[in-house]
Amino acid sequence: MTDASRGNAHELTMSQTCSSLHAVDSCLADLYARAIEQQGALPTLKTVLLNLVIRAADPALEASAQDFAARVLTRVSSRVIVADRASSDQPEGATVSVVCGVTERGDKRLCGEVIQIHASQGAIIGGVMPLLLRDVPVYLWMLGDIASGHEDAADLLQVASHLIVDSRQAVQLAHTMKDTEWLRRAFGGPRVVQDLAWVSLHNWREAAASLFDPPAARESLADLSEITVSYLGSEDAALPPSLPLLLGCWLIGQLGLTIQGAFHSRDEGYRIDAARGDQPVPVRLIPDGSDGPGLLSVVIKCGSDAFTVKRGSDSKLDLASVHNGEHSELGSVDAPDEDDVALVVSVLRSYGTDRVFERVLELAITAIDQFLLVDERSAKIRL
Amino acid sequence: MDHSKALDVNPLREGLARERVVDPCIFVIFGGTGDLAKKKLVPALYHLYRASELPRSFAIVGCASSQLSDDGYRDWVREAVATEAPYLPTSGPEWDAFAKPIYYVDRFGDPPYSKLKARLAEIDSQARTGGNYLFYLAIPPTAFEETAEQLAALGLVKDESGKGWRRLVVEKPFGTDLESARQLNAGLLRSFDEDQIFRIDHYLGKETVQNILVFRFANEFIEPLLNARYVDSVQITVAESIGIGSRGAFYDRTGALRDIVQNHIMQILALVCMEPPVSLEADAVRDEKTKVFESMRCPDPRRIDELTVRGQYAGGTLLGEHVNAYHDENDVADGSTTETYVAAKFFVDNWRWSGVPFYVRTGKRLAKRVTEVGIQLKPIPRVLFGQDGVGEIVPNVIALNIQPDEGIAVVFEAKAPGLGYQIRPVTMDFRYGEAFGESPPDAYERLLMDAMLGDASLFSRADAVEATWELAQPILDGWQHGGSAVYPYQPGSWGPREADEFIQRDGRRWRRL
Repeated sequence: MTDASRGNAHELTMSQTCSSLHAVDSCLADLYARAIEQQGALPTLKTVLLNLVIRAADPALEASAQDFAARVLTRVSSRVIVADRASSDQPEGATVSVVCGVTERGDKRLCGEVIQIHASQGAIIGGVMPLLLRDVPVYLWMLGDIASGHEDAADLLQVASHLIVDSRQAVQLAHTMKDTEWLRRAFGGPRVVQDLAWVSLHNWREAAASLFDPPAARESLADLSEITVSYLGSEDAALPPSLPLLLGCWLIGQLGLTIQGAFHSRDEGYRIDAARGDQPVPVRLIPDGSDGPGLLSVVIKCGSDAFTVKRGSDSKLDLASVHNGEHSELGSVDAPDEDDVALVVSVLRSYGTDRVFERVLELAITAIDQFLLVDERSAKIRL
Repeated sequence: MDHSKALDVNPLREGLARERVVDPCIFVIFGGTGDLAKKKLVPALYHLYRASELPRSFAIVGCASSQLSDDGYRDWVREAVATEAPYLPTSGPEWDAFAKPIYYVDRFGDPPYSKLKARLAEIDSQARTGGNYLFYLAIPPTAFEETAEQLAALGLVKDESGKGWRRLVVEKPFGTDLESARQLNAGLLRSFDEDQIFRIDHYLGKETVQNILVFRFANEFIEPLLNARYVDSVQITVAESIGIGSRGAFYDRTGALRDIVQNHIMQILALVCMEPPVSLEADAVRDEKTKVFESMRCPDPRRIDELTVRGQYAGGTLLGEHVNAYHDENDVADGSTTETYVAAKFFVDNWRWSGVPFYVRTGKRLAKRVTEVGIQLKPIPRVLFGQDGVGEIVPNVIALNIQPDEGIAVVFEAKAPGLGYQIRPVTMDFRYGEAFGESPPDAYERLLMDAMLGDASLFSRADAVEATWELAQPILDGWQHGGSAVYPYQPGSWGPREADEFIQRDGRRWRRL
């Protein structure tokens, strides 16, 4: 069965069901031949820069996986394999699609492909491995929380060069962060691990960094005295969510601070006791008491100076400073695109190790341990 | 973290997509209403603005002879973008924000540009650009030295507070011969320090030219081959299918050697030949390139006919259309002997390249527009497969395609399907556009950014400019004094027949491109 559709003037999607995984190559060849027939004036080229394997933590996420695959493919030329779950008696067929989009220059149409397979736990490696294109990286996107529901994906980790996780989905942040760190260090595992929560902080980091591009503002950092990250969320949990935690730890690492302790109370929110030498620099993570995820602002105080990034309208982050007693509105930058696909595309366009993230992850785990230590002591005292 | 370093470098920029950012600054364009400003600079600056690469505190000041108001110049800039980059918006909030800090200063006054200093100070104060000025000389080279001196006389070469930077960007040609290049360098250096001067050769801003370094020094398989032991010869071709167009007056004074060989081709040759630099710092790269020029054998003017061929395109038909002969083009002097084609042979007399000829050729009205470096490897030592009449085994070629199909190709021998050993050359092809599906940024955008960032890696240094002129000057002298012929060639050909004979004398052929 073949289905062809044009999502818009620039896009052509053709799909076909293959009765067996053995037939995937011939199904794809057939679809490419049809795409070339329909190319019109533009030459059609197959370009594949990478393999992307998407594996959902639970069946409820599998519908999203297929949608994500098609959307990723319009932006990064790749072979996307969606590895859905299947009961062992289900026949191992596949649905293959070829998605073609016109380049920015408008001079050619580039095509990539999606292969959706259904594989039971025991069959997943045998289903995915033969379909991976050789000599290009293998990105494994584990949809959902890696600390739960991905027990069957261990084999896939052995073939992935890059692992994409999302700590925003964490049910138990401590486990998720530690699992991520363990996978990063595991011998024979993925060479690069990336967290979509961290990727979504890029524009916040860019905005905060831009406050210190002027040399005069950088001089203020010598008097760094306090950092406050405000976010949407509740104060009840033992740990802050990953977004404010990672942003706070990023500032701790980049500004040369060390973590000496951490504290959590309903009144004060979460406080990481950081210091530069013997100069204390508390890093406060303050929830607003609401349910929603996301950041509200970050304020970096340097003595009497203060540098602020604040979520303004939906699509902007507003910048401001108080420097030498003078208040300045410094314009705004785009707020992060928090759509999963946009974040994954950003990861797929990078290739190397993100050393800054690695350091931030270690700091976040240190902070988590400190928070949990305090929480444990409090619990004992309450008992 | 060493906190004292944090003041020099923004510690929060580490790992961000924009790890380096441009300081707040004023971009001053001399020749602000000229062709270069219209076609290249203004569109490139607008592209950079749209990509958020320009700092929040930024201003553009156009300087020229026309009498224009700031608004008049903004209209001129809008028209330039509308003409040269019609796909970009020239109205709406984005355009307004870009256009707002655009100003104009005319050159009238005694001395010329006497209003400039006060106007820049006023804009600097308003826009908070920290006393950082970049002066872009988009004017004829004959005015470079004088303009630099005027800037010095106005006290604009150094920031009086000592906090801001001042930079001068000049466009090639850097001189018309060795003597004028030396004079130009000396003249510019009387007003500016070498580290303030950025000499643009836009070829170096091309992605594929920069990729030569990556290809060589980020891959293990290629570098061991690039030496006299394995390389038979190198061919560098910069071919244009168009004629001189409306540039007759300029071109007739210049010719292909000065226009292309002395700068673009020499820069490409240096990237192919240089040793690995110790780092990608500007001077580390430029030191290695200069060593290549200094290692090159200086052509003997008395033997210039053995080392070069020059030609001039004749009239005729190209792709079905009549085209003029060079001497019938506008603004070309009667009886002009200016070459529109040159082929030459160079040697790099160092340990790595000793004895390997570097054949270069460039010309107008050739068969195709193509820029390529063809690295021809030596033949294999013994042919095992020639017994059943398959013919000669073609030595391998590594081709670096710089334009228009940017990429890299390796030509090698393979067994054709069938019984026996039928051998055919096949090509392994990497094309940027196909592999990455993205268009590389315009060369000017990259170079303007680098100049604003103060990164001189892709700009020519005074000693390199003079070193390349030392190689070109004997050719000019030989042609002038030896009376060598200027051979006509048909439009759409690959140059004069004599150029084929020139390389055939060495037992080689030009690559068919």
